[in-house]
Amino acid sequence: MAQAETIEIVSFAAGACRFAVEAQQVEALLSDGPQTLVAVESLLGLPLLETAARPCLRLGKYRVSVNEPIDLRSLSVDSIYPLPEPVALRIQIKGVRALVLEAHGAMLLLDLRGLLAG
Amino acid sequence: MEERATTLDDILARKRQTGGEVVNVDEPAVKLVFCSLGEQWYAFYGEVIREVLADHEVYYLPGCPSSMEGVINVRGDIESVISLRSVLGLPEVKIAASSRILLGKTSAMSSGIRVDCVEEVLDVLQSAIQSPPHTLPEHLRPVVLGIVMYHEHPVHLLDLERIFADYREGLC
Repeated sequence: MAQAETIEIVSFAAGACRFAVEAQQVEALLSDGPQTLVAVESLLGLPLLETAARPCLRLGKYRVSVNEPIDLRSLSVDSIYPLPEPVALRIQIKGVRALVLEAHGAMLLLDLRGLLAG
Repeated sequence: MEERATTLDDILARKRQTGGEVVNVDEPAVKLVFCSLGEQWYAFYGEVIREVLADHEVYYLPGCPSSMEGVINVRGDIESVISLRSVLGLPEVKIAASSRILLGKTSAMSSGIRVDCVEEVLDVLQSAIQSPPHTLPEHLRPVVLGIVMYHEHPVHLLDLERIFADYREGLC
């Protein structure tokens, strides 16, 4: 039987919501380093509620702080969808590339590198 | 030769190509979908309502307007769900068992529309649809096409094309 097509993602939390980014965008999981520190909430346009030290994802010259749990896992492409047009037009979160629907809920797939470059 | 790994761009390009056209069938009569929000009765032209859904799981999405309840998966097609109460400026209520999601499609966009109840789908004579009264509240005037009587209730016939166009523009 053919295996389901998958991509590798890194998922994390911000606020009360789950987000993910393609694993190829993330170089490492860090707690400290010389890279410029950026809170993921500030990239996405969400309020920053967390002020304690958090784990970071290294993306080039940046460390992006996120909330746990952080998972590196395979995601079936069957659970990835383009954003419906009304959502794409009205969503206020920046850098959203796609929607992930799984049994336990929805997750937004982000382009963090694009946001950092912009 | 090394096989190229599937990227998100590949997946999205492929999935955007799927999704069929809605067949537009000419109706001999004007078909209306009657629904209600509390004590208020409304109708849509049947030609803009593809389907009526019950008991569909709605996935909440962060960062969307309060009028957008979330998204639903309809046999692999993802649709947003918009609250008609919110669009018409009515207070939100707890979703009841009688609540339904109308799948609407216009030239502006397609989306689910949450209503409190779907009463009936009926063929109605075009002549039974009267012009909106001058007493119609200001905020409803742009979206009400006419009034039709149903079980002795006056029913506002809503312009889904206009509602969706306004929604796209962030006007409601």
